[in-house]
Amino acid sequence: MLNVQNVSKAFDTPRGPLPILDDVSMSLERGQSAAIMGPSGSGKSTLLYIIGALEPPSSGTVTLDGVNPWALPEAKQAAFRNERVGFVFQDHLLLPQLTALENVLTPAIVRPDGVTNEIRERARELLAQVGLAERAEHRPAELSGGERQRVALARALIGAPGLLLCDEPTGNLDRTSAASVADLLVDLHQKLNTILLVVTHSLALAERVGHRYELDSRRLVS
Amino acid sequence: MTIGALVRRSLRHHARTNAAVVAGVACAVAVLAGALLVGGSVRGSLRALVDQRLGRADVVITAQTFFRDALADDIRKTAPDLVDAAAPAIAANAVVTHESSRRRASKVVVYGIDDRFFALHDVNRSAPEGRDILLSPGLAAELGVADDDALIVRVERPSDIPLESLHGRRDEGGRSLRTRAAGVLPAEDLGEFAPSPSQGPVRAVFMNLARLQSDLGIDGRVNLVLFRRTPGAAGPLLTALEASARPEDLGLKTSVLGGVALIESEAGLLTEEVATHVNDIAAEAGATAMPVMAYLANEMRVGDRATPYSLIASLDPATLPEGSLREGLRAPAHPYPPIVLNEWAARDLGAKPGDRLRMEFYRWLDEGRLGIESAEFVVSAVVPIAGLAADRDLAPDYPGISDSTDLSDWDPPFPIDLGRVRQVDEDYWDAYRTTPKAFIPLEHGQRFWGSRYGSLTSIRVAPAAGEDPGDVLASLQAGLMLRLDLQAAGLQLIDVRQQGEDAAQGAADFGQYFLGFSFFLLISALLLAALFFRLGIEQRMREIGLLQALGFPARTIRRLFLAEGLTLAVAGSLAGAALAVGYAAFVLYGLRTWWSGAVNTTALSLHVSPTPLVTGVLAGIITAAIVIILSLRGLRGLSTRTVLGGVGSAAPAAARTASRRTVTLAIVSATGATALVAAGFARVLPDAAAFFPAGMLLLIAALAAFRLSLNAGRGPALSGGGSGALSRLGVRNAAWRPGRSVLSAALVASAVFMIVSVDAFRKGGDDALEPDGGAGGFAIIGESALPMVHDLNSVDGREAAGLFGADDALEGARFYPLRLRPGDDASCLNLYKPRRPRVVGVTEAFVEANRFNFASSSAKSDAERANPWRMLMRPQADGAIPAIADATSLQYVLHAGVGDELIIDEDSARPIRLRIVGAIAHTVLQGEILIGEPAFLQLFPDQQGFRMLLADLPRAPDAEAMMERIRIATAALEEGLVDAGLDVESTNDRLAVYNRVENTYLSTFQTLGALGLLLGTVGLATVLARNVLERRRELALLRAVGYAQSQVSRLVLSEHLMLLVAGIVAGVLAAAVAILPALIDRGMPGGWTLPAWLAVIFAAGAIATILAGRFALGRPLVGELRSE
Repeated sequence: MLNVQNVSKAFDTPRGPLPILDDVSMSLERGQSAAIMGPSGSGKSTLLYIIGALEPPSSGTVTLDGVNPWALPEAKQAAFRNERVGFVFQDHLLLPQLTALENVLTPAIVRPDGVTNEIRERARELLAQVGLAERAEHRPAELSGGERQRVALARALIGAPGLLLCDEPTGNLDRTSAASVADLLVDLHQKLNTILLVVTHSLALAERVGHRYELDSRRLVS
Repeated sequence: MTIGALVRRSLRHHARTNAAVVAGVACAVAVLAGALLVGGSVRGSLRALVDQRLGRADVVITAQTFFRDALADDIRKTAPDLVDAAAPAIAANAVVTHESSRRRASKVVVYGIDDRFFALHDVNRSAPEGRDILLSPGLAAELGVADDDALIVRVERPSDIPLESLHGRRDEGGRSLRTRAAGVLPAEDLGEFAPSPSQGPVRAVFMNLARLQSDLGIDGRVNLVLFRRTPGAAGPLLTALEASARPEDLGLKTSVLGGVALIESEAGLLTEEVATHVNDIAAEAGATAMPVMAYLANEMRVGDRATPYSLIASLDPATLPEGSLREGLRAPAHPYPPIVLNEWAARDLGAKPGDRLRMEFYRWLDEGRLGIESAEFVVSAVVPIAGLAADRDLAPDYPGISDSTDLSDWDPPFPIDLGRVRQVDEDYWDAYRTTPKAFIPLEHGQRFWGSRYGSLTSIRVAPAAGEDPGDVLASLQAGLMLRLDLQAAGLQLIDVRQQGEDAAQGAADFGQYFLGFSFFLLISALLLAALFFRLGIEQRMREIGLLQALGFPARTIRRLFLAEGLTLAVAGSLAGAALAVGYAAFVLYGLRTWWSGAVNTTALSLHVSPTPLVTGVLAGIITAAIVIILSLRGLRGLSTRTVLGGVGSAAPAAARTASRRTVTLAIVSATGATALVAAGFARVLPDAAAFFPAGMLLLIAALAAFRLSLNAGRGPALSGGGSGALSRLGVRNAAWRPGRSVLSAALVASAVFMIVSVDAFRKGGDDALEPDGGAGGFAIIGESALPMVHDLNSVDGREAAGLFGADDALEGARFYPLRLRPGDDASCLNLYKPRRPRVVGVTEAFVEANRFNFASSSAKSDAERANPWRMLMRPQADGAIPAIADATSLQYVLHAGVGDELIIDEDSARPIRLRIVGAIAHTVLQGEILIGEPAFLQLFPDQQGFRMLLADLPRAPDAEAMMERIRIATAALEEGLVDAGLDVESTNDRLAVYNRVENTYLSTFQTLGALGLLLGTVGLATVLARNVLERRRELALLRAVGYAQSQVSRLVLSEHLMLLVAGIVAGVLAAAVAILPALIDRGMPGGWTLPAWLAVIFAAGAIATILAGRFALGRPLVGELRSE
């Protein structure tokens, strides 16, 4: 279960603290999904990064299955992200020097078992699930935008995370590709029984997930 | 908006990246122009030193023997337009001992000067008076002399009579003068006066000319005249010298004696050349020349009766008037030559015609001792003591004999047994003095007593009937001066100013040296500039793509960037010119301080001239332009879409072409390296020409192979976990930008190559005592200020030389004396170009000892191959003198090789053609050219005795005991031969001096290589920082997917440490090939320097990498994930 309690965030600026989030709370059970919407600069991505243990909150707590990543030391926090969280960003952020398969395997490198045959097989399965079985050995430069984002989705799911966080996953895609990626997201979320939290401007995408939140004036509105 | 405006804006916008390119180019130009400036500065400094040490003297006359001091004024009067001032002086070798401290300095030059010396140099001082002497600053410091200190100056005593002849005064080779130090003569007051260019400290003392002349017994004579040319006047002084010189200036004595003109020599013997000219002149004048060879016989014996110590005259009967003397000398020479006795001798010996007579006489033997030889004669006539037979002037003046009142007062320079002198002998002396007691035919006298100095003691020229002998003498004097080559006869006229300026060009071009030393620094700087430029272009890939998308033709885009690049090249080159001055100043500071061991002087200063700077700037612009053009070529083959994506990865076809080129480069370089190594092993090429270039080619091949390994499959597959998997991912990252990765590795590799390969050439403790070692197995080497003539291998010879009580110290020692014509040091210790190098004459015994290791030779027969020294005794078909020299000196100082002809003494009347027949490898004889003794005596008849020696000492059980043995022998020799001013040192010490020079050069090379390494680490760090900054989003993603900060750091570091390691491995491998001969000869270097250097290189690279990684990863990465 994801539990966000009274999270606030303010950035230090030369002109003093700049509040972004104010007393945000929410919770999602395994298998649930939600979309966070709001205008640019409203703090959607910041909230997502706080939940994904990438950005510390100024106050409040975040727990996933009872574990507060911000209470963990840096190395365990990294392991927390690696094992429990999957990220998909607006830019696919694939490593250009690696093939699609290798990009999917990237998180596995720092797992205790490393890149095993089993995980390699799982990566191939995921690529097959996102429709890229034939493009496994292609490099990002040889893939379309939609294909890259699907590789990114497969990478996010390689560790079978309990929480899948997507930051504008279809923001850079055409309508068809966006629809395709959205289909995949929802489909895989259901199959894998994860918690899915999507930050998006896309109403179409937001409509396909269970809950919809709006960030307005630094507060989360259901 | 124009193209120009676009270029300007771009330059401004990318100022930071451009500054890095400018800095790289500036470094390269600074190194290049700086090296040229160093060369110019060394030459300028040497020239300045020549000017300082010559003062205002432009031309000198110098001679081995002494001539009239009035010759100076005579020449000045003869050529008033040419000569502004003249100063006669004496220059003599000396040993100076500080009386109270007993400190001793040899190889000191004593100058006898008067006020004219200072007047010539426009120095407002007076010459020292009485026993006062002035010291050069270097000598005063060396001896620790204070004013009024007493100094014993032992001066080489001039002797007209050769030491290596019967009448040579071997016991009076030097004269000790007790003097008072009257102060130090500063360098600006000519305290460092030296007619020959040298950069080392000057050891000189200056004393009153008249006093020195009086002390040496040569009143009115000098052996040096300085001339100052009239400003603006040009023209040779030789004509004036020829017009002013007289026979006595050449050591000839001319007089009229009893109706004949008499020609004799101060040396006691007339040279062949003089004798020939006298005979010719006499013949042309219709006069009759009568040659005479007189000698002293120790004994004449007939049966059991003997006459001691008799003068014998040998005469040519054809030149004698009719009479019994002529007839007696014409008697048949069988079975023995005839001898004519005067009545006194016949009576004393009880001899009559037909009796056999045995004569004993001394003869100077080549090994350095007097030997007693004998000859048998048949008495052919007895003549009365009348006429020519009563002529006591047939014998020349013998010091110690001719002037003695009694026979028992004789003080000749050879042993005589006065106990054998009887009253009748005294009576004869009283009555007839030096009147010969016997006469033999000239041809036999010359055969018995002739030597390399001549075979006549006098020539009498009788005028034709009715002629005045005075007129004959005058025509002989004039004719001789006309016909004799004054310079060949010993009066050397030397344009010291010109000679100094020529020599200041240097034995080696330091500009080239330092360009060579700085080569890798230069390469590193250029690579760095190329790297920065390439990074700049890669940074602007999207911009290039945009321009392409906007319809800019590819050529226009290339021109745009070329214009930017050239602007940067010009800016960098101009900045480099300014930096070059600093770089040159830095190198010269190093040469004066840390590396002064390489140049043997601290007198080098910066001389800035425009030529090297302009050359450096132009070369910098051209080279940088080429580098930039090559970088821009990388843009070809990139599709607009690729470029717009900012990826900068070549299209597959272009990548394949590049890959093929890399393969070709690797194969060609590796093949070339293999061929060169093979040529090196086959001795087709010298080691330096084979292995070092082979190493460089291998370096290129290794880097090409590295590039290919990065291309091939783009690195290892991702598998496993932990550090190994992270490292593999790092390697994959390095393969993503192969160009910059290879450039980074190349920067490191070239520095490693240079530092490692140079270190292997560092000279260490060679086992000098092995016969083929650097000392040829000789334990000690010595050089004397005054000539030594005695055979130190015999007990008698040692005692005669003054070595008493040294038998224990020298037990088992074997000496090899060497003849020496002093001159310019031909070793790397001398920065000046040796115009008149030191020449050593090696004896037969030395040749047969067959020491030292030959680097190469032109031996033709098996015997010569077995002992290449024998080539010195084989005359060359073309008349050149066979010579052997040290390989290092030949290569770097004399610039000649085996088989080459080397002309020395080019400034003299008789340049000497040497043919280099062998090169000995790295020896204690680096300062000299070696020729055979016979050739030496022929070329340098004036050089008397031996001035160098090498000696074997019995081997001690261990090195320490050997050192002690050498120390004891050295002390005994220096003490015993103090009068000769013998300086002895262990050959190991001498080798260490030469090693120090080479090692210092290597240190210089390594230091500049370390600067190259610095640039390499800067490049590596830059690439790392750049890579990280470019890939912050990727790294942020890794953080997002669960990589810990430490894992991201490890990933980044492993990638760049791999480049560092690749560079080190490539550099070490290439260096191993370059130093293969050294490795084979000496094995793996056992010292600490090489591992230390490798550790330093790795540490420097690693630290740079870590610091750059920390800098680049220091800021939070999360922000990079945002798309806004």
